[in-house]
Amino acid sequence: METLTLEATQYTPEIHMDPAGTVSIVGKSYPENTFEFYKPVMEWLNNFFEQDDIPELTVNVELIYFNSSSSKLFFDLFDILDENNDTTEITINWIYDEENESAEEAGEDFIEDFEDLTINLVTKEEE
Amino acid sequence: MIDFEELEHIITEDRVVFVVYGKWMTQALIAGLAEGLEKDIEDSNLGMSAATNVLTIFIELSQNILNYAKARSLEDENKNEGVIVVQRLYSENDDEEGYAIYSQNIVADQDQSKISEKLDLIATLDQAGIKKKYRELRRSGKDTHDKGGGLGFFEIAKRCESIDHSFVPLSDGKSFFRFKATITRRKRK
Repeated sequence: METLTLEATQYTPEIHMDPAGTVSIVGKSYPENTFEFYKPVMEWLNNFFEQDDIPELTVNVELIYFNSSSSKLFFDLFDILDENNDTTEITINWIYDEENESAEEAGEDFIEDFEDLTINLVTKEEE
Repeated sequence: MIDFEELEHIITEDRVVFVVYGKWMTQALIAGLAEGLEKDIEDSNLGMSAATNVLTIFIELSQNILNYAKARSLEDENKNEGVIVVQRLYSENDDEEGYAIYSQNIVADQDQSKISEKLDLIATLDQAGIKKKYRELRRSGKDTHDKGGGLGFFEIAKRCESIDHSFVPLSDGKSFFRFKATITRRKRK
């Protein structure tokens, strides 16, 4: 497996996916075509879980703001993680600024939607 | 010559941050305006959470216009026409700030009922009801693709204090769809 790196743009986040078992997504997310933009990300994840020896996976997500189709996309992404949660050790860190209640609420919603996943709410100061 | 005095009067009188009025909403334009809006919000006392909501709603409404124009079969030269207005709000004693974001675009009559259905439902829901419906829609996967205000209106509604909309009939089975979201530190009850 190869590392996938996408530089941040005005409307897409910086993405780094390392086969050793770390994924980070940091920035804003409102692409013109969200599903097209995240296609390589989803493909990378699916390939990751098809390996013979799957390492532990840590996913760090720090979104400043995002559109509703990105919200849907992240739901689908967490869904892939959820499907592989029994066979792989997966930790998700939902990172947000302490003062940003909206970002915190978005993280809380994902925790409620994916009860079996380990999703930690992490404020930036604690990092 | 354009009447700049009149233009300035309108802009300052109504505390307009910016107006986009054109037949060419593009992603690059939206991204540039979002950066400008970020700067404007930094000067306000709105706080980070409400700031996030202002930016999200601005993007949602602008991309609605963009995506509707792309998806729709409206075969005329006005199909991409859209208006976005961002306005600063102040309370009487100027201590409570907020924003109003307005949008207008042209929609076909067959789409009007779909939009109305969603907005009429939202009008009957409280904050908890909107969040619940939002999560249901997101989970179901229906109605959530880029193409039309499916999840989008719920995204907007859960992030603001109030929303308002109207349809103004035009000729040939089309209407202006006008929308307003008011964002303050408060959310809807």
